[in-house]
Amino acid sequence: METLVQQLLDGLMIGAAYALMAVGLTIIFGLMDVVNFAHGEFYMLGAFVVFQLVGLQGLNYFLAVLLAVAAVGLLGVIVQRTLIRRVRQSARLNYLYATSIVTIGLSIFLQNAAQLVWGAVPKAIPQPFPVEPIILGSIAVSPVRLFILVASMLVIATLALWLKRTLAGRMIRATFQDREAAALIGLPVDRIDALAFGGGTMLAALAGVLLGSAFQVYPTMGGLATLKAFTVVILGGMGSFPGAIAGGFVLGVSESLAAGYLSAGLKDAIGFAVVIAVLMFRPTGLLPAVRRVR
Amino acid sequence: MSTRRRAAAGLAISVGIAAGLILLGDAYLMRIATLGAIFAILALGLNLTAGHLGLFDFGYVLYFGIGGYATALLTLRAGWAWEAALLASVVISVAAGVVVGVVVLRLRGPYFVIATFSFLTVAYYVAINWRDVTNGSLGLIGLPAPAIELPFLGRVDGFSPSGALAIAVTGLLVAVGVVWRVVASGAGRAWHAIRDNEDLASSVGLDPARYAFLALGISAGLGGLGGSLYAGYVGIVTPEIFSFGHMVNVLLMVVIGGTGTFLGPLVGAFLVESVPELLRVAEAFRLPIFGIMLIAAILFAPRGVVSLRRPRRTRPGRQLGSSVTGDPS
Amino acid sequence: MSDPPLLEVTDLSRRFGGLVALSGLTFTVHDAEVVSLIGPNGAGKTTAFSLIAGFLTPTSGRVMYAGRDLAGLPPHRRARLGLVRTFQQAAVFGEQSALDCVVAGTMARSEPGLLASLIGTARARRAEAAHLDEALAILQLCGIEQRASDPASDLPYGDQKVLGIAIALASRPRLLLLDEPTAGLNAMESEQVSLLLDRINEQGVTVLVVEHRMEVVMGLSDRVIVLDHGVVIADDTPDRIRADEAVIRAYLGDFGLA
Repeated sequence: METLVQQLLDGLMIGAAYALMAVGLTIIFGLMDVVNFAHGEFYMLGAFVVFQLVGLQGLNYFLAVLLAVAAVGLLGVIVQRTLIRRVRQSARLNYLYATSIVTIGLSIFLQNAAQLVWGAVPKAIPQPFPVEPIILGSIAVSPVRLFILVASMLVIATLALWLKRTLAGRMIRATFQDREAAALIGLPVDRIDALAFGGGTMLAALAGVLLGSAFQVYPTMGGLATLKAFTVVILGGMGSFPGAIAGGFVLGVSESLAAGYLSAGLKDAIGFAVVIAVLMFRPTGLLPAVRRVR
Repeated sequence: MSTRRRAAAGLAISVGIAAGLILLGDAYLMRIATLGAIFAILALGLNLTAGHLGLFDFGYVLYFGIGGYATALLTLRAGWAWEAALLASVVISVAAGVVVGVVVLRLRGPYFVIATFSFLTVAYYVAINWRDVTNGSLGLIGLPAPAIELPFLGRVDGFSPSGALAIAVTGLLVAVGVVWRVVASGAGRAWHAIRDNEDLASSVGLDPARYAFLALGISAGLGGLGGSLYAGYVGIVTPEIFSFGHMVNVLLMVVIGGTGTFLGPLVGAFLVESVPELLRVAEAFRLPIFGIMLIAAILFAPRGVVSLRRPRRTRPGRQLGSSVTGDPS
Repeated sequence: MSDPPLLEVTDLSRRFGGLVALSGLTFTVHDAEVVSLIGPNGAGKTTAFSLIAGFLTPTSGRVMYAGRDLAGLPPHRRARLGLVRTFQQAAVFGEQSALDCVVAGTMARSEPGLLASLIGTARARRAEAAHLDEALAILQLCGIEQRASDPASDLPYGDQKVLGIAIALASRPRLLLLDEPTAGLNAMESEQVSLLLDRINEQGVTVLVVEHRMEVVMGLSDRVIVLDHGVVIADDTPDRIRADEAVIRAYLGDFGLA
C-alpha cells in the first residue's frame, strides 16, 4: 500500500511537469497551428540556464529559476519573430510543413549548441531544498518533489486565471478559437503569436527547470520531453487545455505505476502504446477540444 | 513528355556516376554513393506523400526500419534467401503502411504530423524492448550480403564495394521507375489535384482517402525497399534504424532538392550524402549543420535547388497542399 | 411537372453550436430546370449547398437525388452520381495549367482503370488522350481555350471562376450546383457567365444556382426560391417573384430591383 501511494505521488510530480509542457505545446499549436518539434529543447535550455546560474555562478536558486524562464521565453519570442513569422508571410511552401521543418532544424541546432557549451556529461542542479524527506505517516516525500508538484499546479492555476480574467488572456482565447475572426475584428494576431510562442516556451523551460532539479540535466534530455509532450497532447485531445492537464497527470501516473509494477524499461513504451490505442479508438482524445466548426 | 525526359536524365546521371565510381575503384567514394543511392530511394518515397499529395509523414522512416527488420528476421531467423527476403520486406512495409494509414488518415494537418511521428517513436521503443524478436538494443547482426544477377555485370555480390553500389543503384532505378510511372499516371494527376485543392477534387468525384492510401502504400513500399537494401549493405539492424536522425536526413534531402519536384529528392540525396563527406566535416558537426541547413533551405530556397535556376514569380495565395492539411489561418 | 423531381430537399436544417444556419429548408428541382436560390447574406444559401453536396452533415432533414436518399454519402460519391458543386471563391488546382485542371475534373470517371493507368496499358493511354480532347472541348465551350497552357493561379479572377465551372463540367454533372458564379465579376464577365450557364442548360444539365445579381437571376431562371434567415419565403417564377411583397420586403427592398 505504501509503495502504491509513493508511486502515485511520484507520478503526480512528473505528471504536473508533463502538464506544464503540454499546456505550452497546446498554446503554440492551438494558436499558431505550429507543431513545435523544438519544445523539448526549450525545456532542456531552461534546466541548463539554471544549472549555469546556480551551479557555476552561485546565484540564488529561486532567482535563477525566474531568470531562466524569462530568458528562454525571450528566445521563444525571437524565434517567432525571426523564423516562424517569416514562414507565415511567405506562401511558397505549405505552412505546416515549413514550420515543422524549421522547428526540427531548430531542435537539432539547440541540442548540439548545448552540447558544445555544457558538454554531454549529465549535470546536477544544486538545490536549496533539504535532502531529508518529509515523513507523513509511512510515506516519505522529498521536499524538491513537493516543490515541483506545488509550483506546477500554482503556475497552471495562475495561467488559467490570467487567460480568463485579463484582456490579453481574452484576446488569446479569441484567437485560439477562430484566428480569422480574431484578425477580422482587429486583434493584433501577429503580436499574440509572439506572446503565445514566448509563453509556450516559458512553460516548457519551467518544466525543464523543475524536472531538472529532481533528476539530471543533459543536452539530449529534450528529445524524450518533446515526445512526452506530444503524447500528452494526443492523450488529452489536441487543442484542449483541460485535456493537456489531465493527460499530463494520466501519463505521469501510469508511467510511474508501470515502472513500479512492470519493468523500468517499459516505462517509456507504455505512454506510446497508450497513444496508439487512443489514436485507434478515440482519436479526439480524452477531453476533446471544442473547436470552431468549418 | 518532360517528366519522362527528366526521369531518363536522372537515371542516366545516377548510372553514370555509379559506373564512373566503379571504374575509378575508390572504395570510400563508392561507399558514399551506395548510401546516397539507398537514401535517394527513401527521399523519393517521402516526396511521394509530402510533395505530390501534400500529406506530411514525419514518421516516414518507420517503413525503412520495418523493411530492415523484416529482412534481418527473414534471413537470420527463417533462413530465407536475400532476394526473397527483400521482396517480402517490401510487401510487409506496404501492409504496414496501409495499417498505419487506417489510423492516421482520419487525422488532419498537425494531428497527422504528430500521429505519424508517434508511430515512429513507438516502433523505436518496441524494437528496444521486444528482445525476444529484435534482440533489443544490440540488434540483429550478421545479415548475409545480397547478391543478384545484373545485365552486363553478371552476378554481383554486396561484399565488394562495387557490387554493393551496383545493387543499390539497381534498387534506385526500380524506385525511380515506379515513381515516374505513378506520378505520370492518372493517380499522379489525382494526387496533385487533391494536394492543390482537396474540396474541389472531391467535388468532381475524386476520393481523397483512396488516393491517400495509394500514396502511403507505395511510399511505404519504397521505404521498405530502402530499409532492406540498407540492412543488407551494413549487415546489422539495430533500433537506431527507427531513429529520428534518419528522418532528418531524408527530410533534408527532400527539402534541399525540392519538395514536389520529380528530380529534387534524387539530387538532394546525393548532395546531403556527399557534400559533408567531401568537405570532411567532422562527425560532431554534421548534425548541427543539418539543422541549420533545414532552416536555411526553408527560408531561402523553399522550392529546393532544382528550382533555383528558374526565378519564380510570387504568387500570393498559393500553398502546396494547403487544403489537404488545413489552412494555417 | 408530374415526373419525380431530380432533387428533393426536405426539412433540411443545420445548426452550428447554438447558431441556426438553416432551418426546415424544403424545395425541389426538376430535370433540365434552372433554379435560383436567392436571399440576403447569411440566409443560409452556401450552407444549403454544402449540405446538398455532402460537405456538411445536416442536423436534420433529407436530401433525395434521382430517387435515392443521399444521407451519409461523401462528396465524391455524390459527384459520381452527377451531383456536382462549384465554390464561391475562385477554386482551381493551384499552379497546374488550366487544361490540366480540367483533365483532373475528368479523372474520377476513369478510376476503375487505376491499375491499368499505373501500368500504362495502351487502353489507359487512349483513355488519357480522350480525356485531354474532352478537356480542350470544355475549355472551348467556356471560351477560355486560349488560356489552356497558363498556370491556373495566374489567370485573371474572372477566368479562374469560369475555369472552376469548366472543371465541374469535366465530371459530366447531371445537376450542377453553382455558388455565386458571378460574384466579383464585372458586368461584361457576368453576362458571359450567364450565357455560358444557358449553354450548359441547353445541353441538358440541370442547374441550381446561388446568385446575388438580379439581372442574372431573372434572365436565367425557370424558377426562383427566396431564402430568409434559413427559411423559404417564396418559390415561384421570376415574374411572380418580382411582384411578391414578402420578397420585396425581406430582400429586394434592401437593394432595389435591378
